[in-house]
Amino acid sequence: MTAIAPAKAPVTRRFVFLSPTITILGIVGILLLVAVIALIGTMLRQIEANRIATGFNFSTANRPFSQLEHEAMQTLVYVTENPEDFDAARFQQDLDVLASRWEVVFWPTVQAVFPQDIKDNIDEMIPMWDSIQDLSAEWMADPQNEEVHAELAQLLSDFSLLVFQTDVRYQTIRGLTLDNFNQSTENLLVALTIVLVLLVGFVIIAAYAMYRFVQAQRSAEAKTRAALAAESAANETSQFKDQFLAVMSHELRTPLNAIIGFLGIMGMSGKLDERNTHMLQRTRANAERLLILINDILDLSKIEAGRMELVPSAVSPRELVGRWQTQMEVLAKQKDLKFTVTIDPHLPDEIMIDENAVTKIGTNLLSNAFKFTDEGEVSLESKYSDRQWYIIVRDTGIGIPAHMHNHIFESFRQVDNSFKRPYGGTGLGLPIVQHLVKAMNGTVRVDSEPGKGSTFTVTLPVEPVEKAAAPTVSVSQLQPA
Amino acid sequence: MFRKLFVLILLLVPLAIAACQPLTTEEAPFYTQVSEATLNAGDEIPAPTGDVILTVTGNIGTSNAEDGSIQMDRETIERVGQIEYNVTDPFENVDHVYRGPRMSDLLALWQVPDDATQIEVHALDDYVVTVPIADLKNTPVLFALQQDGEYMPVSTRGPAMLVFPYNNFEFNQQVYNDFWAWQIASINVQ
Repeated sequence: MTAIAPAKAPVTRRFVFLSPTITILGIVGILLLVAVIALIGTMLRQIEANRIATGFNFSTANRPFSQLEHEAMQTLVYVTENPEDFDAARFQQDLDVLASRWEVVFWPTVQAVFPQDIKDNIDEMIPMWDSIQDLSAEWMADPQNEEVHAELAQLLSDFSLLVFQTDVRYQTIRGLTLDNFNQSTENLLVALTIVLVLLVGFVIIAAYAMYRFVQAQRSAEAKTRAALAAESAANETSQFKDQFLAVMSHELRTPLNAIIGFLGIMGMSGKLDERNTHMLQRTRANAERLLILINDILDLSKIEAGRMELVPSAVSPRELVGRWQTQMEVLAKQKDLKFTVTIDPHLPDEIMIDENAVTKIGTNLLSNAFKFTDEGEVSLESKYSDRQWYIIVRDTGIGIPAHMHNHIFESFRQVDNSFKRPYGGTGLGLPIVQHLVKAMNGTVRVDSEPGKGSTFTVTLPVEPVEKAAAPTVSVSQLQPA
Repeated sequence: MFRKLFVLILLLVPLAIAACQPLTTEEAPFYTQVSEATLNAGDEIPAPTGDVILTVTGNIGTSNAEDGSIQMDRETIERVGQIEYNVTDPFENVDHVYRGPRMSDLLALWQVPDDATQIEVHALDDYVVTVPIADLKNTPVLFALQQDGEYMPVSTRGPAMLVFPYNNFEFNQQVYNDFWAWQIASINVQ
């Protein structure tokens, strides 16, 4: 980020390509998105392969015992049903076909997949097989020999039974190997999640880089204000900023929406087993979190870039607070916390205020309070005096040490910045709150002690609605020059 | 920065183009002609003198038996002309040289009309598989009689087996492995 043009140098078109960091970030982002798409593609193919495999569309070599058993039964049927008009050629053919299936069992490719207990069964079959050969030869030489005939029939029947048992065992084991397919699908899901996490990291870095870029650009702007070239440079800056914001919001949100949508479709396809469905849901939840993060970053960027316009309108503060209450009661129930809301009776019925902005302030403070409070109470107090609306959010959560009070309004900042911090979130909530409050000419104050909870007090100057409507005010106008 | 990117793109583009080229199959025949045809399409098929190993029924344009079928012994089948080639057997995962007539030559000999779409192959055991005729004509699929210079007995996979040239063409083995019918006894053209 050192590559900002010095004040005296004319800022030229070179500027757009000035930051190698942003170019690299763009390339990394595209690569990550390609990785996500490739992974989803591979996963779908894997699921298709899984479907084919579970369809048991397997060739002879994969079913050695069922084929062997089938042929042994055929031979047995011939032996038991045709003792009278014995046809040696026909019997020999049955024996030959049976022999071809017996041979398959000893192919190296087939042997390679047998576990020890299957091999033990085969060892047991070998002497039976030899006897079948001997007795068959004897019977063909003397078809009228009842003793040989009975012995051969018994032996073939024993042999078939053993092969059948082996087949059942083998199919069970093969069923287990089918799990490997599921395992690799699962691995792909894990890889997908990792790439999504990388994408989160990328977005954070990109947003930070952009933030720094804009900041640096702003100071460069201030320095070059006197110069004639400054105007065009500023235009280019804001144009680039606008483009970057537009590209960021579109290019990041579109694929993410597609990912979320397709994950949903995949979940509905019914082709996933329970475990994969679970992992799919987790992947989807993470993708949705990523979307929220991106929206937050874009909000913050918009506010900082002075592009968020406040549009005050007549709003009932009671209704507003009531809505926040309904929204937050879910969180209170989830964490089993007490949640009290008090509204000052002096609060005017209607005030002029930007409803979206004040809602963002209220819900961000409340969801923070719920996030960092594990037991006790969260309260929302709404006071009014002398055209000042006080929104006070108290909690009995973990609190904030005094030395951090000045830092919590910085972007991406949580009190515990360590890698293993126990609370999630982007750390963008309070910066958004602070920027919005500033834009509304209000103040935000924090009183907190570690272990005793925190109190955030937002003070907003408001006009009761009897007065004339306030003009539209844009954030950039309100910022100090 | 720009120049580097440009050079990088210059390097990557030929690579990408090379990667997109389709896999080309060998132009020169990979098989060996073992014997020339002495029985051609349109010739009358002689009545069998040896053991009948193949009965052909269904949508065929000629016959050498009273019931309208074609009965063939091994010698007659071989007169269509034989080729041989090396192929990795998908079941054993071992290389074998298979020899026999091309299925396309046999279909021509049987005067199978153009509207026929598939053959139903019946094996000595009760195995039945339906194979599209287009698949038999697109590549030199063998009606294999010999494996590594030996006639295949029933006790291996004989007397005849369908062999697909896996080593020289792309096949979806999930589908085509089932077409390698062993111990073929009869074929019904449909």
